[in-house]
Amino acid sequence: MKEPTDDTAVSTGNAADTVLAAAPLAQCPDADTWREWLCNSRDDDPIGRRSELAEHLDGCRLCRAGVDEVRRYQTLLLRGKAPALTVEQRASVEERVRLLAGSWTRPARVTPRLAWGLAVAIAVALVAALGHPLLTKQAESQRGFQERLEGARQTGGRGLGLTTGAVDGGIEVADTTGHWHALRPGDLLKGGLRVRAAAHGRIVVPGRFEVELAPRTEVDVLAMGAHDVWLRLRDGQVECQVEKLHAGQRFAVMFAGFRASVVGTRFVVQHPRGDGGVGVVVTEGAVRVDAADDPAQPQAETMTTVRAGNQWHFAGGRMALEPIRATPATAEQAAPTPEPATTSTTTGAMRPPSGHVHGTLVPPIPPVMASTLVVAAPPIAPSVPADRKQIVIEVPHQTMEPAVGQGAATAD
Amino acid sequence: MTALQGRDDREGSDALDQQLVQAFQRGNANALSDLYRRHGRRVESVARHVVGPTSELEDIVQDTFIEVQRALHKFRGESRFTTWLHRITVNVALQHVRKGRRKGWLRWLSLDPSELGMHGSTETSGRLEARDECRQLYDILGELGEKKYAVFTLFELEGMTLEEIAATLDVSVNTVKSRLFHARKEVFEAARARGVLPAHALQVIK
Repeated sequence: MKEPTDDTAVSTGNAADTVLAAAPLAQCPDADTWREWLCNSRDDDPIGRRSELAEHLDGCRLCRAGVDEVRRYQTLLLRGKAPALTVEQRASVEERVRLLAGSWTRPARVTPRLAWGLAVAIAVALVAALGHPLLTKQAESQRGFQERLEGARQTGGRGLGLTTGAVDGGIEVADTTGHWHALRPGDLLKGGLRVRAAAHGRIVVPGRFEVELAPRTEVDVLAMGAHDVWLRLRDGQVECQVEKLHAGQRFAVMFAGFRASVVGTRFVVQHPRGDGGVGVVVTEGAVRVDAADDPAQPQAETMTTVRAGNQWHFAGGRMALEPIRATPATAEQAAPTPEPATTSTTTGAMRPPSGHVHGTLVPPIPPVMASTLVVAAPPIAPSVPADRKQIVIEVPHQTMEPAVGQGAATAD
Repeated sequence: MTALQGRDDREGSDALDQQLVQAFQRGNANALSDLYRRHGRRVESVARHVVGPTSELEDIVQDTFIEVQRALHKFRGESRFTTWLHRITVNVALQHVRKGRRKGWLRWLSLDPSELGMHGSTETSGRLEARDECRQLYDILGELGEKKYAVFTLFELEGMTLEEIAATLDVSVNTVKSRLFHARKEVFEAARARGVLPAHALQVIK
């Protein structure tokens, strides 16, 4: 029970409030009692106090006014409900239900024996699928990524593919049969394909990315779909501009046993030919670099996030992270040269001082291979929109060319 | 009717439902029609209250029985058939509400006051006013979260008990109470703010 509070008697000028002002300050049933009474009035006497409440209502204008208003709103809501079905409509629904029932076929029952058989078959299949890599992990590791890539090539890879919007230059694509043909605008680019450019070329997938291929560049498409775009740079240089990624989307380029994946807003990664190591240079946003041999499985223990203004470098089995330094080598980088010796001048500029070495990386690539690569400071890409990301990666021709077809396995 | 008679009737009705369900599960398609004849009106009633003004009630009832047909072979009789049926009805109706919220204003434009059951009012302005108030109340309901909306309409309009709602929505009674408390609070405060419900009504229901 509650006492009406003073504010209930404050008149707002309308008739109902005038009634309230005149209401006696008697003991009134509490809100729960009224709610129960109001909502269960169809029952005989839901709370056993019907007569008592009715009597109170007769004598308390405050409660009566409130109850009347609540009833009015209930009436309004009830009026607002959908009109009842007509007899014809009900008959129509019944007929449809009858037809529906007639079209029903009982689902096949799975007997316990069959269920056990299925369970055993599934278990065997799981063992075959999972047991093999578990038992032969070492052998699998040795076969490495190349084998999985070939598998992906055979099966069409991950993702349903993305349609190219523009293709410039003489870019060719090889399907699973190994047959090369020209890539044209509107072609479907999907996992398992291999793309190469004899001269400078460019592939645009509207809304997703733009990839520029330097002359003599070869790229495997590992995955190409709504969520994942994974490329593997086998040879040469790619420059990627990636549209803003949405939740669940990934864009990554594998190169020489490493992976550069889009994290931040914009960045540039360059990986020029040479013999001093590999590197990633970030101008805006961030890049995550790890020694991954599978784009889907990042190696947390080797993961490094390179933020804007910094560069990551790996050579001779050692990893360094340092601020970007200006280099006079950018002109040479802009025009790739066929011989690695021509880039040797950049090596000194990018080789990190010992004080910047942050850790030792055990990459999945042989040290001898890493030592044949070199890092140079990249030219900052001009006028890239803020919501795009740019990656430039280069793999030396002379180290990868003999390994085409098996080089990736060596690298991983 | 005594309480004992009521319980006997309910148990008899439940047993008949169970027989029909088993008949359907054995392949007797006619059992579905029988279940519709027994419960079609109740499904219609629940759906009407949950969806509010709509001209698609026929579709909702039919969709409910399509769902029943799909799922009936999995019904194991662990709850009353009517509870299970109401759960499906509410889910189908809420799907419709979800769809309707995207075009909520359209249904009010298309509805005639006579469709709102306001046949008794001969004064045009009164009918329009009533329609406007009704529209405002349903607008307020439309702003409720789906869970609170379901509890509120089932309790306030369909007249289900807390226990029935809990069984229908597969939640605890305390959860129903809590949702109802918050739903009422939101509805009445919004109604008061819009002037649909006078302030003094809140003294009774709050």
